[in-house]
Amino acid sequence: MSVALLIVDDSGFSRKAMLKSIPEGWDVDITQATNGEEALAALRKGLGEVVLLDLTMPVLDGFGVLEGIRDEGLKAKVVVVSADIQPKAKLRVISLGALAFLQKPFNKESLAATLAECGVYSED
Amino acid sequence: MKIEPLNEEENEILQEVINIGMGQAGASLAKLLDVFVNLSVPRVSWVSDVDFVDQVEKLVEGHGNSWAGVRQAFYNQLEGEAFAIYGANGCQQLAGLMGYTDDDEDDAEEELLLDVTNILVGACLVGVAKQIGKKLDFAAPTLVGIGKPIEDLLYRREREWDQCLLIEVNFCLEEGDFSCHLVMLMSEASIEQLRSGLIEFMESY
Repeated sequence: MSVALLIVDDSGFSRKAMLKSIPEGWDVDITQATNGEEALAALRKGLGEVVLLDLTMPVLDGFGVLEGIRDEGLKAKVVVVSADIQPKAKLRVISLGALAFLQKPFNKESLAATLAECGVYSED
Repeated sequence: MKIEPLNEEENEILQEVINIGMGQAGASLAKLLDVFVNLSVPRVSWVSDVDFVDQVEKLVEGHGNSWAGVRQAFYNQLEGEAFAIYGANGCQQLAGLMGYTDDDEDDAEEELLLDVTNILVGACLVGVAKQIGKKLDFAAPTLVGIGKPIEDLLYRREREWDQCLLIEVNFCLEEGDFSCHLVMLMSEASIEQLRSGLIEFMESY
């Protein structure tokens, strides 16, 4: 059965890069969101079993999305993909419930490895 | 010869590449000031060298007439001049975070502005150059002036350039906001290098 994958990033380029880097053969239904509000709306509709989430975004940032998921009790496995490399940012997203933190710029290999680590995708 | 400015797609890549550079700048700034820095999306736009002073003045309109400016030249595959412009509030806030008081020598404030500029300009441009595979070196930053109107700070450039990249960065600290404008003047050859690098970067995905 395919997985509902939600890609959240305000940068069109960054969303395209994520789309192109998704492991081949991973059966996913993809939804895209360009800010945190759109992401929460998609999550409420069940469109994000797995979420690739940027942090620095207009309207509502990635921290806000993680808080929303927690406060509304939404079910989502979140991998944060961000250029914010402050150690405190990583600690904060993990404490807010994210499964992993992937630093930008990422590539196919680092994305696949991170998804595998979180147990949401298997390379075999 | 007039060069074509970057197209929409190239600008979108540039915006993200600068965003990644600013993530590194934020982390360095957080370390220097020992605070958590909330990053915001940097705003990026191009103007021609001829009217860049007017454009910067418009950008900061209504935010007072007292600014500090630091200049830093860069050369190699990308070549140009960068200016970092700080408002009076930003300067005071930085000084406060570093524990400086009004009684301290002006030297301390100058040194802080030079350090912060080095971090911001360095992280932004090194971040960009590294991602697009271009070589870049820096001259040491120099203070152009403190407590001056914008035009006094910006007219003192080394030479005329072809294009100007305006980057508006806001770092939101727990203790309050600190914003800064980066103004990057570049040669025509550098813009072509930038363009080819951005296209290669995009194709790497």
